[in-house]
Amino acid sequence: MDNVRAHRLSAARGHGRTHSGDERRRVALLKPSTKGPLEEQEDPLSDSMISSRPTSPPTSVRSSTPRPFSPALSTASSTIDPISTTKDLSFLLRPENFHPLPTPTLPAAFLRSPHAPTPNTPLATLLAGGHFHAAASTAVRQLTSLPVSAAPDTIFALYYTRLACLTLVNQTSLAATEAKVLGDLTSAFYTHPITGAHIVPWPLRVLAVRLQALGFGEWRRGIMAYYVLAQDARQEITRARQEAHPEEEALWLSRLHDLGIRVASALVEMGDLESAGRHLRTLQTAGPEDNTRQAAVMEALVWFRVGDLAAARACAERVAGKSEGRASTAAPSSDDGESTREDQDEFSGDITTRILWALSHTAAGAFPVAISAWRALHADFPHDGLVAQNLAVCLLYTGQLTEARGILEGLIDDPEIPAFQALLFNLCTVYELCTERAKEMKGKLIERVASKEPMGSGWGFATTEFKLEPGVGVS
Amino acid sequence: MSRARAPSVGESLKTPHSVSLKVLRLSRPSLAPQTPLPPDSSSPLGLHFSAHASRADPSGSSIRDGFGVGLAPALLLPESFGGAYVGETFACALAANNEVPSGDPREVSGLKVVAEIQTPGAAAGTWVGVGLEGEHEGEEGFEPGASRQWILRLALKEEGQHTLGVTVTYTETGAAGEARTRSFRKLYQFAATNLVGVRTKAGDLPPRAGRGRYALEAQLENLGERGVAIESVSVAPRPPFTSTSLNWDVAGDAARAPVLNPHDVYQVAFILEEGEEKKGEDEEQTPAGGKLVLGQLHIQWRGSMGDRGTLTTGWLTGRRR
Repeated sequence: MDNVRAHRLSAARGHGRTHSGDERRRVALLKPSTKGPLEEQEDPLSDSMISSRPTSPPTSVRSSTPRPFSPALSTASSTIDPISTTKDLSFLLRPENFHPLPTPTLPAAFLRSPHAPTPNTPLATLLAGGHFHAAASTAVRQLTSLPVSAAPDTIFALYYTRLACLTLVNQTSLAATEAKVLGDLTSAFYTHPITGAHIVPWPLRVLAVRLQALGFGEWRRGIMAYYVLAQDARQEITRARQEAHPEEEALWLSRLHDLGIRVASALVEMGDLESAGRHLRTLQTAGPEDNTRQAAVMEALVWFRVGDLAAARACAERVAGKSEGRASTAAPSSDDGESTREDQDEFSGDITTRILWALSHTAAGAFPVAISAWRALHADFPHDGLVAQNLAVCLLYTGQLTEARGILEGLIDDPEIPAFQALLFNLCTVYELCTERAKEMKGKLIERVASKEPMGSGWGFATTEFKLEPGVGVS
Repeated sequence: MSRARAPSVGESLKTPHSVSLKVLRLSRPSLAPQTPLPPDSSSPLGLHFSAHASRADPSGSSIRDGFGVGLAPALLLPESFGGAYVGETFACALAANNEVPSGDPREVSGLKVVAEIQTPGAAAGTWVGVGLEGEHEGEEGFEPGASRQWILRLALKEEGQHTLGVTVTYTETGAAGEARTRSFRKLYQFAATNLVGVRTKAGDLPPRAGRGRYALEAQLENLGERGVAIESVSVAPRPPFTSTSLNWDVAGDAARAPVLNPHDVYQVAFILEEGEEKKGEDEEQTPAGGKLVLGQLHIQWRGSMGDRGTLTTGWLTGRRR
């Protein structure tokens, strides 16, 4: 299956390369990084700058002519950001860049809920309430009505909001298409001609890497792009250190660590789990305790996914050692269904370590032990949605469907816990198992979710989250 | 690609059944994917995303405690039937549900569920009973809307088409108190395929101290559609032989067992050496054709999220010098 996918990806790349010559620099996702730390900033009047002009979708005819970036062409007043006098970002504002969300995305219950936003709800309020569907549309409305002379910060903030909202509502392929419009974010076009600083905010640069990798079908180049960003982050760390700005240094160090984790994440999405595990191991050799611990936690999850339980447990022990300052001696459950001794350490460590041990029993198939581990966690953290829903899932593996259903429904009714995709998926699956009238039950579930108070984690779930199409899992 | 089909048999009664049967294949639960936004997402316009946005579990602990991007520790029930593989255990959840609408006077009691399997090797029409986990005998109060669940586990030993038959029997009591026993049967078909293919070769080595030595090599191939994490490969030697591994496991704890992605081939080797035992006994066991029985190869693996499988080859032989 991976082979098939790789094949399709390379076909997509081939397509991407058929653009006309003068657009190559902008449209090609990422040129191979030839920019080393010792190289000078590129000349603002170099060929790459001149060719960095507005792009248009490959199908439309471009009417604008190449526009050299000279102050003479700008009629802007002095209040406008100096960057906008040299950078024409109007290509980001074109309505044809954006695609409507497929309809109907939201079930009617969300649209008529008293919590539903109005067309005039400000964008910041939409984000705070988790109304990402509405925010995605509002961001585009605002972007496309901006004047050509709008400040780059405004343009990029709205562009980021649009792309982020699309990924949050599972319209990642749409976001990937729209991220292509940004073109090559490493090109000199996006650097300030005088200061050499990158004009695109960091979060958008980071978000665009994954989306463009998906959009162009080029995961490997996406990983390269993370390394290019890492190089920039390292330069910033050095600069902050030299200029004695400890806060900035800490910020860039955390960004660098985040990039390291994102490389592993990209490898997971590519399906190369072993490389992800090996890469995560390299992130544990040095750095602050919190960072190495996070890498160890993620490495454990990767090995669970692979099925290498011994490696996963070794990671869990490292995490336990980091949290307790001592090596944990938790007992792995031996065989499927057979429980060995239950080590008391497993029930007294910090929550992360305990979750990893509970996952370990789950993966080993020792469901009775796993259930007691999840139950103990649930007793200590009664409003933790993850713990409760994992307990419910494990109960289904020991025939306790009724209790599992009760726990999942209790989470929907708990005002402190926002609805989340895994919970909805599991509860809908349980409904399919519980009755022939699952569709009716899912309809009632939608009403209950729509009546929940909006929270920043997301409010309003697409029809597809409720498995309303005929399921293949339950028969 | 195997998939459960559910043709209903024996559903000749005119009134719809008061009980439904639903089946969910229970391979291990998977981990939810998650791709969080970049950490410092606030912008000059005050457009701020909650740190909980895009988390697979937005309610707390996993953020506090640094679960990273990529995978979340949130478990998901199996999404699809998936492949069924020889050497692994096929498990599924059976749920019998009281579908009597509220206000309907019908009552259901005496619910019984029986499962049988037809394996490819068995003669046509031969059904073998399969035990179910879950004690509901004599349980009271099967109210409308209630469900009872059983777990079926079946070790898959043969390649080919399997048919699972599940019979549901219950007593339905109407408004006037008249009781009748009703029953229906559902069939589910799936194909079991080989996941780990094994090819072996035994070659003789120069004897040491007058004792015969053989090199046993094996190629393990992933014939399936998903990854296989090998847990152990060992030889159970037939006396008087003793077996020595030449594989990754001799390196001790630091060594990582191999992972075979689809179409990957992995080579293992063992040295089998004749021990102290009297040769006389061994002679008697030697089959005709001058071949020596060396032992059996035993492979143990896990799939994604820990589904376990095992395979034991037949007796492997070496040529007598």
